[in-house]
This record gives sequence, structure tokens and C-alpha cells, in this order.
Amino acid sequence: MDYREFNRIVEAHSDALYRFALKNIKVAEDAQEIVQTAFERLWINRNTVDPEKSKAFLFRVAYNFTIDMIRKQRKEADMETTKFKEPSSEGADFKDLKRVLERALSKLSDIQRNVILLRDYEGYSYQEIGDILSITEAQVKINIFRGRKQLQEYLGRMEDYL
Amino acid sequence: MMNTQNNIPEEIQWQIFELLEGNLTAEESEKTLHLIESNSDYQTFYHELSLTYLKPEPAEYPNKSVLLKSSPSTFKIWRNLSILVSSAAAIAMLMLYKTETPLKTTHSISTSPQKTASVNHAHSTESTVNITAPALIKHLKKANPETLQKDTQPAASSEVATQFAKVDVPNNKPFRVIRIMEDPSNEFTSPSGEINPDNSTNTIDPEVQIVYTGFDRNASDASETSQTEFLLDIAENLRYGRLPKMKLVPRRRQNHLIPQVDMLVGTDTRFIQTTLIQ
Repeated sequence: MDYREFNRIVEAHSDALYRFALKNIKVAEDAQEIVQTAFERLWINRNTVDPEKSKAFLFRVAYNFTIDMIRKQRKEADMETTKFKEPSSEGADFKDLKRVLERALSKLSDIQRNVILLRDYEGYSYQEIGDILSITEAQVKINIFRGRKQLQEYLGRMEDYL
Repeated sequence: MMNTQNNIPEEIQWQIFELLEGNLTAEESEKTLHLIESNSDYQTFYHELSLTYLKPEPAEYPNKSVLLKSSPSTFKIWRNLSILVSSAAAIAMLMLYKTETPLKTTHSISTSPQKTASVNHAHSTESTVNITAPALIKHLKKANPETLQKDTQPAASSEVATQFAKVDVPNNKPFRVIRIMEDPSNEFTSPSGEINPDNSTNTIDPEVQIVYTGFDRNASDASETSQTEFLLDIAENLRYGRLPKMKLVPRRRQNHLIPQVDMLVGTDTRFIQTTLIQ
């Protein structure tokens, strides 16, 4: 991969990668750092990464880096975000489905959130998602199913408050 | 809206999920839709689950320009090299005019059919790549067919010794030494022990010699160009009519391969044209 090919990949995938990171991490500066790190890794490994698989490579790096960052943040904030809490009056703050959905998405486990993001935003197949996240195709599918069910449950609960 | 999934068997939930994921055949989809229509809980679950599909939102990475790579650092060196070689050629042509030597303005190209490229890809710290003129010219013609003109003069390339500045090529005259190096005092040691002209200890009039280290202290892509590509790039940029022999000596420094080329050009070459790599 030469610099021209690399630049083409930057143009093609940087926005999607940034969106993926931003949906995960919520902080723009952190998301930018993740994108930069992913592309740096790609450049370092440019002689071994097949350009056709560069997008998967970038998302895999971004995912791993995102998870590390989220864990660090959780540790620092001593927060527990993987379990649902019963909706409280905060539900009244949600004005529309999109915001409710984003809120619900942030409450999913890392793996469930990422399989859904990769599936819905990037249109990846189960196998491609599995390659990126280093899990089996069956695990991808079941995590999408469970994640969607949790989103559906959350949406239902929030609807009761709206 | 209410949660209904507790009232729905998991296999039905899976079936509705598969429908929304697009994993069912047309026939299976139709059956599932009929099933959903038959039960209000199924309808609610189907509707709620369909809301969980995210719609892609536009996002723009703000620092894209930072990620983009410029052309390899060799470009800058090539540019300087080209300027220097052009200057050298101009000076040489002036000198030749003064001495009333017939000046040819076209390339003198070896057309010896027997000569073929012999490339030893070097992965060790030191090795040699020899590319004879016909192979280079073949590549040149492929790259820029309109800029090369054949000359019917016979080739003498293989007869020219590889040690520069020690060869007495018939009709050759001292030309000019051009050397572009990152660090002349430390970088270059001639592979065969020749004197480094940059150290001002070389008392022998040289042929045209270009020693190019191809290494930029601030860049990490010195190893990016393979040796063969490097040679061909040189050939493409410096359109010599005659290239008796090129010798490439890769060296390792800070884990980077440093291509290093000694070129010996007979003074039958009257015209050197340079072109920058884009």
C-alpha cells in the first residue's frame, strides 16, 4: 500500500470510523484520537494489510482502542453502565425516539452496542463483524438479537414515561 | 406502547428478528408476516423491534488533512537531484561546445538484445543489484515511449568497469560529480572501498556519478521503495541515453533500508533530461 492508496482509504473511511468511535465514546476529542490511532496503525502495517481489508482493520483497531478507553473511563468514574436501571423521571427529558435510542444504546454491553453499530451504520455482515470483533458469526447474531431486544424493552419503558 | 416480549415465545421472537434482519426467504417472510398479523402482541413486538434499527447519520472527521500522507520524502530529494543533474548536463554541454566536440542531442541507447536484467533482491544488509541498460530502457520505453528515441550505436555498457572513476572509457571525458546525501561525513562508505568524492580526497577525475542515499531523517518510509523500483525510478527520472551499470547497495541504518546507488555514465551521453516524479 503506497501513500496514494492510504490517502484513498482515509477519504473513504475516516468519516465512518469517526462516527463509529463517536457513537461509542461520546467525546469528540477521544473519538478523533481513536481515528488517528487507527490510521497510524494502518500506515505502520501498510505493507502487510491488504487494502481491500483495510476498513475491517481500521474498525478492529478502533474497536479495541474504544473498549480500552471505555474501561479506563469506567474505572475512573466507577460507573456501572452495562445494566439497565429502572427508568426514573429522567425519561421525561427524552424528546424523541432518536435520543431515547441513543440513551438505550449507551446502556448496552460493549459487544452488543458494537455489533449493532457495525451492522446498522456500516452494513457489515455477521461474518465481517465477527472478524472485526474476534467473535464467531453465531455470537454476532445472538448479540445483535439480545441487544435489539434490550433496546426494544428500553424503548417500551421510556414510552410509558413520554 | 408496552413490553410484550415476555408474552411471546422466544422462537417467535427469533423469527420476527430474522424477518427484520432480512435473513428469511420470501416464502418464510410471508409466513412470518401472516403470523404477526394474527397476534397483537406479535405486532407490537415487531413494531418495537423495528424501531431499534439505527439510521446512519452523517459524520465528518474534522482532522482528515492531518491523516493524509504527502508523497514520499524522496520526492524532495528527487527534485533537488533533478535540478542538479540538469545543471550538470547544461555545464557539460557548454564544455563540449567549447572543445568543438560533436554534440548529440538524442539519447544513446544500448540495444543489445543479449543483455537482460539481473536483479538480486537484497534482504541482507549488503548486496548488489545489477541492471543492464537494455532492461532499463525497456522499462523506460514502457513508461514514456514518446520521450525515448533509439540510437543505433552499439552498446558498450557491459564492458565498463563498475568501479567508478577508475575506468578509462573510450571517448569519455571527466564529467561532474553530483552527490546528494543526508550526511556526507558519516553516511557513505563506498562498498568496494572507493574514495568518497565528497571527502575531497578523490584525485581521479570521475565520470558522472550520482550517489543518492534516498533517506530522510524525518521520514520513516525510506524502506518503502523496493530496490528494483528505486532503480527504475532513477531510470525514469534521469533519462540517460546510456547507463553502463548501476550498482545498488542497501544499507541498514536505524532499521531502515537505505538505497544507495552509484551510477557510472559514459560521456557518450550528451543529453540528460530529468523529470520529476509526481
